Parts: sequence; C-alpha cells; structure tokens
Amino acid sequence: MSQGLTDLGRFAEPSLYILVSLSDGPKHGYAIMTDVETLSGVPLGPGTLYGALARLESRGLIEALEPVDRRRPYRLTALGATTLKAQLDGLAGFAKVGLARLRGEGAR
Amino acid sequence: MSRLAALYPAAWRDRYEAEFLALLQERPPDLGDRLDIVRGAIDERMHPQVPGSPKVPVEAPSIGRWSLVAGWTTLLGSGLFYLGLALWATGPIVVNGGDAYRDGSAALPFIFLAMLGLVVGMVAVVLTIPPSRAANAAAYISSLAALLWGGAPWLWWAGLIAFGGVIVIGGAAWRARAWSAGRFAALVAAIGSAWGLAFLALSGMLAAPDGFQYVVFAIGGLTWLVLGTSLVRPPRIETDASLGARRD
Repeated sequence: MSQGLTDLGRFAEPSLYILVSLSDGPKHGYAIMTDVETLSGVPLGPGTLYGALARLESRGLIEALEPVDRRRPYRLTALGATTLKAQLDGLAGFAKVGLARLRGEGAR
Repeated sequence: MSRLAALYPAAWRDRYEAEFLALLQERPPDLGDRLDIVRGAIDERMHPQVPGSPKVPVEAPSIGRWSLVAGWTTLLGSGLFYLGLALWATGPIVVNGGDAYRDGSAALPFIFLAMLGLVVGMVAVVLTIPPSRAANAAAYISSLAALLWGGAPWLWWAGLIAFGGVIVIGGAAWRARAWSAGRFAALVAAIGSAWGLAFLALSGMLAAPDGFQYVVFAIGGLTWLVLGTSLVRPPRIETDASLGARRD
C-alpha cells in the first residue's frame, strides 16, 4: 500500500475497502457496510467504519454530501480516486509477482 | 443506542452522531458491534480525527493525558489489590466441622475493583502501541477472564488466562519498543513466579508454609505496578516518528 493508507494503522485495510466501495458512486454508512461485507466477506463494525470514515475524510480522500433523512452519503474525491488507483495498482503488481513466483516454484 | 454514541467525544458526536445512530437503527448492533464501537470510541478519544474541530490537536494528542489517567487507575488497582490481600490475611477464622479456614470474603470487592484497574491498564497499553493482533486478542480475552477471576478468584483457570494475556500484551509492548526488556522481564518474573509457586504448592511438589498463599498473591500484585508505571512514566524508547505512526 502506498503511504496514503499505511499511516492509518488498523484502519488501513477497512479504509481500502471503503474506497473501493465508494468507487462506483456515493453511499451512506449502512450501504458501505453491506457493500464491504459483500466485497470482502468480512463484517465491518460500526466503530471501525466511522473510525475509517473520519480518517479518510480528514485526509481529503472522501467527502461528505448533504444528509438525506439523517443518512449522510460519502463520495470519493479526486485525491481519493488517485490514492485508490495507486493502492490497487500496487496490489495488482504484488499479486502478479506472487503468482509468477508460485508458478515458478510449481514448475520445479 | 445513544448510550453507545455517548462514549465518543463531544466533537465527534457533533459531526457524526446523527448518521451513526441512523446506521445503528438500520442495523441493530450485536455484541461484536458493541465491542467494536467501544474500541472505536477509545480510539477517537486517544487519537481525535474529527476534521475542522478545534478539539483536534495537530500534534501530540491526548495520548499522554489518557495514558496518565489509565496508569494511575492501574496503580490504584494495585493499592486495592494489596488492601484486599490484607483483609483476606486478617479475616476471621471459620470452623466448619473438622476444618478451619480464614474467611476472605471481605476482600472480594477489592479484588474485583483491582482487576478492573488491571483491565484499564491492559487496554491502555494495547492502545499506546502499534496495532498487534496478538495484543488485541489478548486484551479482549484477558479482560473478560480478569473480571471473571475478580469476582470468583477460586476459578484459577480464569486467573491464568487473565495474567497469561498480560504477558502477551507486555511482550507486544516490548517488541514495539514501548517497553524496555527489563520491564517485560519484571512482568514475566512477577506473574511467572506467583503462578509457578502456586502450582508447585498445589501439586504437592513444594511444602507450603503458613501464609504461603499471601506471599504468592503479593508477588502477583507486582503486575499492577509494572503495567501502571509503564503508563505513568513515558516510554523508554520512543521517537516522534514512531509516535506519529501510532497515532492511527
């Protein structure tokens, strides 16, 4: 992961999931929780969700929109989209190298 | 549910409470969610994140202050533990049939409160070191075991789990360089010797003299002092950079 998320400590992984969740459009908290659970298979607790949202918002990676019936949607900012792309590119490269090495070991 | 949100600082509640409560209405929290919220609230109090809030310090948030509070609470637990021990050691002799034993029930409330202090110390140490799965798991499990043992000290296995978890947490603090090797060694020595002596005596391998059990408990009580002083006194090896990394 790039420096953009590594300094988030235990919130780094949930933050990545949240950024991916918001990459197809704004969502409010409950929608993010269910989407992240679908994406990752891991439940996202409310305390972790809002800890990560606050950190992402304070770093300008997401922004809050006007609340609708007490539910406030969030959307990815341009900086958030750039950071997410860098994160995913890094992970894709990492996966590519790992798979190549695995294939190499399997061929031996 | 609003009681859960009340765990967060005022600045956080001003910003997030309405939507947070709406979320909890849509998905009523189970036990795991409640624990997650408590942890989130502790995180927010120790590392405030609310953007634009005047309560958010730019540098050096309230780690020091909260560590200090937790440290003194743990040390207070130490005092309560030794007070409970004294009550136990001086309790009335009860004769029941052919058996005579010392009634230590007056000590129970003090031992329970002491264990609460130990839980505060454990959680605070975990929150002042970089994220560690082992330390987090140990804090959760040991806290529950500590409270159980505090209410029923005859459940020796609960005490073993509780103090075993404290060693795991101390080990994580040492690995994170928040604790010196000497501090961790003192913790292992206090817990290891107390439990080791207790098992040797219970198994019959060691002939326990009168009052042996009080000595064992007194040694175990040093656990509070090791934990508490680590929070009251600043970490031995610490840099601004590592503090910054821990802030999240």
